[in-house]
Amino acid sequence: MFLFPVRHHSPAAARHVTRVIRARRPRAVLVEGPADATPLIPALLDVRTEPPVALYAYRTEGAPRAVSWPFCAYSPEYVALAAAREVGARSAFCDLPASAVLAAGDETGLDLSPAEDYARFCGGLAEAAGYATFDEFWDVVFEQEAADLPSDAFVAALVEFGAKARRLVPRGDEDSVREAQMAAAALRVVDEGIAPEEIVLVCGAAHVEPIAALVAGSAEIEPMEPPTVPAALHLIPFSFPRLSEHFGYGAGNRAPRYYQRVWEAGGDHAVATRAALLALAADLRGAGRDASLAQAIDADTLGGVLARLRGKPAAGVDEIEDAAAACFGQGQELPVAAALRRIQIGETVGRVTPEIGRTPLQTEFYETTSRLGLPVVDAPRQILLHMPIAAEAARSVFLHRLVLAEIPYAVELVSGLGGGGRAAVKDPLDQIARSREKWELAWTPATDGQLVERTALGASFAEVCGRTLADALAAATRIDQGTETLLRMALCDLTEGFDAGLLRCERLAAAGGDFVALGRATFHLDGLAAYGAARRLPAAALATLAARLFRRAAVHLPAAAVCGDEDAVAVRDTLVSLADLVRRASPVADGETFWQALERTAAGAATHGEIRGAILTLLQLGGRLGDSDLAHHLRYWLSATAEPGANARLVAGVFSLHRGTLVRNRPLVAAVNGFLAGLSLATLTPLLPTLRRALGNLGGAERAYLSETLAGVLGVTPSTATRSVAASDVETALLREADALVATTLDDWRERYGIA
Amino acid sequence: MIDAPSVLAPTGVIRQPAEVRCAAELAALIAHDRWPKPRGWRLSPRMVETFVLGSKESLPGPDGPVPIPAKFVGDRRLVQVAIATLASDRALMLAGQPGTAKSWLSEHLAAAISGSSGLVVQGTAGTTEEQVKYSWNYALLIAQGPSDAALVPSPVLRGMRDGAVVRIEELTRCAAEVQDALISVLSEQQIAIPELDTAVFARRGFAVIATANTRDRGVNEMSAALKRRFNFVTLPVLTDLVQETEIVARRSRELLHDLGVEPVVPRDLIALLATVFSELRRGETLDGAARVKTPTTVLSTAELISTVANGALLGGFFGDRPATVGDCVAGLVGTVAKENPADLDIFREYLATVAKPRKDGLWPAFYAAARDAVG
Repeated sequence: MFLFPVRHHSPAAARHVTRVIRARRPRAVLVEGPADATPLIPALLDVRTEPPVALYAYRTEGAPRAVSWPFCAYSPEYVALAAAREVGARSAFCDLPASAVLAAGDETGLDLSPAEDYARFCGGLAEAAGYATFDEFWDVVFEQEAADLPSDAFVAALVEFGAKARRLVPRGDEDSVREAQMAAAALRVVDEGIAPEEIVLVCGAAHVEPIAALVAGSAEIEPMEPPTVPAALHLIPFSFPRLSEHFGYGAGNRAPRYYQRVWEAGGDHAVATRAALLALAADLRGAGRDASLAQAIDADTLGGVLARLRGKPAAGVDEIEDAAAACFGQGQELPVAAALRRIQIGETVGRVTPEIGRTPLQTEFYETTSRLGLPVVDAPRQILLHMPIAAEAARSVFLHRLVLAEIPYAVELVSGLGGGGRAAVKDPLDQIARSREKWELAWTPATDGQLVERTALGASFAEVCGRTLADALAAATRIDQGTETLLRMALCDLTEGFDAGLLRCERLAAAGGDFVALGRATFHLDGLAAYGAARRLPAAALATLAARLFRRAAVHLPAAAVCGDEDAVAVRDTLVSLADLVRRASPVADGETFWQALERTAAGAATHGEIRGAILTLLQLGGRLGDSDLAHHLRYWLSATAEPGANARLVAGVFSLHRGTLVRNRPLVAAVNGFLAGLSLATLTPLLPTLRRALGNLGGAERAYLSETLAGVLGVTPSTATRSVAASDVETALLREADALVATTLDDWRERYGIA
Repeated sequence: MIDAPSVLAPTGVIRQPAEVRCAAELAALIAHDRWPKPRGWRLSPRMVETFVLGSKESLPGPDGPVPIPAKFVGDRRLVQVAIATLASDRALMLAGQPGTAKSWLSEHLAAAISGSSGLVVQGTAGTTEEQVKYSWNYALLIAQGPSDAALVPSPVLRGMRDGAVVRIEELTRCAAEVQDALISVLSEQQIAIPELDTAVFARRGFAVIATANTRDRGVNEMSAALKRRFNFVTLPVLTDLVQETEIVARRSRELLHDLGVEPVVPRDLIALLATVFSELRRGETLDGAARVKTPTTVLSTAELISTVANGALLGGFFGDRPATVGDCVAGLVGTVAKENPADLDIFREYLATVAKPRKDGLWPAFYAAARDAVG
């Protein structure tokens, strides 16, 4: 039996294995890979399948886990299977089946995570040979030098390397199990009547000796039944960037695109390097940088001389990096880094033959992206969508559906100039109101992986999303969770389930009595009603439900206003939003009910100070209180309790809204001043945080108005103004706090944005 | 690390060129060089690399083993790119911040390749084209007309004639017209002398090493055509504290030995000063726990060397004892804060927030001395 040692994704090994198979013409070729993937071999070798592709296995029950085995055009395993077909041999995978791998604790299913010692062995070997890294060593010794050796010399060298590695570092039990599995598979083929000399087994170099020993019969093969879990296997496209991420001895490689060039050049590294440098120059020119042919020539020359200086037969990955920095980047790596990544690693995404039968979701995904013109590449691309344009609105709907179905492909970013690359906040109310959306799209193998797995939930995105939303509705316990789901339905344009959703919300509305939830639900629905026309929603039903929720919220307000500090903030915010609805004269808002509820709450003795303050301001702004009435109420409540903390909260509440107007309200400022001046400094200090929240970050104009009003209150004329401002130590303390806050804010800005 | 005693006893010369200082090493390297040499080179590229980066084994010499210490401590790959550039008939541009050993590396490369680092054009705002090409002995010129005898060759012309490495320091400080005069020199490898109706063609072994300081006018001032004639190597500021301390210790010892002074600078003092420089330079403490404001000065390794040497001299000449913290601090302040008063405040803040809380080793003494110095 001929055991051929390989390292994953090595062009030299691939060339030699082809040569050996063609020369020996075996009747059976066994390849290291999950045994239950053997039926997928024809699809893998199909002419319409373009590597990089991967075998994708996932658990169909229990905690989700997935494992992939990638192949590129120069993976020795892939090439061996192709050569087997060429000589008419039967081929099969012979390693542990995927169902066993998924049961074990192993994450990648590939030859690694190398034990630390093994990594050290490789590092030590490299250093002894005079190279900086193991990959450089492998490149020179095996890819360049040994590639030109006759095949048996190559095999001998690699077997010895693998054996030493294996011996030096006794690896775990899983290796023995796998080797036993592979040996057993080979022996089964022998039992079926094929002579051992007519079998070629292709496996990792470290496994050759143990398997050979097992097969020769000098060691016992323990029959084993490794535990398995229910799993399914599929063939999915893979990409070069992912291949370079799987990087470690034996798994992935550091420059897949470059090695593709080497493979296409028949192993000639000089030709591949030249092609890479020319491609680099073209890429840089495309990005707007200077990169002439002359520079490419200089880079090629430099690469060749560097290789000679370093004792290598030809320039390779490292020389390309050095030459790129020196000739194209003016000594800096950064300007050429992105282009180098594209040239060395590449962005190529493979394709799988249609024969394999894609899952319905995959089919829909690829058809829709193609129809809508969305890019499917393994590199981030940003697009900006304008909702008023129908075609782009269609894209938005599709992307929202993908997000809801948890298919990793698109991430919404903050649109607008200040957004940068930040992911947008996923508030459906905001999202539905946006007229522009910015998305970042990146296909990865995980996309296809999830497209395969999610088929369990439905045969189309509409079905999958519909089911997800229906589950969310059923699980909703509060009215605002229900209305949020309605918003998502609108975003995904899944309006068939809308009526059912509305019914559920009504039931939730009848059940719950939480003011904040009711308030939020009201403006969710108000938002839906406002934008619903464009999305064909039953506006009338929405408006009715919303109005009902509004009235219920108003009823629940007085009770909700009796609460602690943390809840007060939420209540106040909801209150402000509802007031906004009233102000806008939205059809769902019943103004009279609202004001009455506010007045009742403001008069309630146990109402939280901050809420009371906010309500007073709202009443005044809504015209229900006169200017002096506001001050009158404030004075009343300030005197109602001696607890300064509650009064400070009251003041903070009053000033939490529309400060620009309030600071010109003289009676109000007088009342506040009276209150503050009446406190001793010791009492005042613990209240400063609350007060600072309300008054500490006034704008320039607001501050000017405040000082004017204060001057009027204190009876200070402009000439005496400067002195008297300094006189009051209360105000000084406030000013100092304000100054400190401004200073920290400025420092923070300087650090974060570089604004000095 | 091999200790390199100064090869010659302190002579009357303040600073000897590399080919003189390292004459024994170069001789040993030439004798044992069995690699192929490009035409016009005295050493093969591999031996040049060994000379610059040092070697663990000594070479046998006529008077005993000759150690080859490292002249340049840094990334091996950068040095390899530099040497490969020169070996492929391209001009080399060494760019970087002040104090990153650009001129030092250029000098040693020239010494190793051509045996002489003396063909230098110093770039200043007043550099003219004549200093790059040629000028005339005007008396002879007027008396006898143009002739070979009347021609005064520039270092570049001499380098072309003799096939040697020419160094152009601070190329970007020259006026743009002078820089552009180099373009045709570098691409056509010849200088035309119309007055004599001839041209001088560069012989093999001719190479140009230019240096450019990225802190001042920087390489952006170079025309694109000129930039294309060079392969660039950017020398980084040292970030490895241990490496930096080694270099500072060694170089200051060499400097002091040259000056005929043998004071001792304690190792932990050098480490402390290197830490101060490093933290101010990178804008945060070494453990990354606190942020530090960076001054506008460069704080390069070269300045650190001179601070340490200064301190040692103060101790040696004025105190007759090993250098103390106080001696070094005096020089330190002047290095950290040059003309910008804000830098002094930054240093004070550093003292208060970073130096004061540290109670181990020499830090308390450092804090006290520095407070006295800056107030």
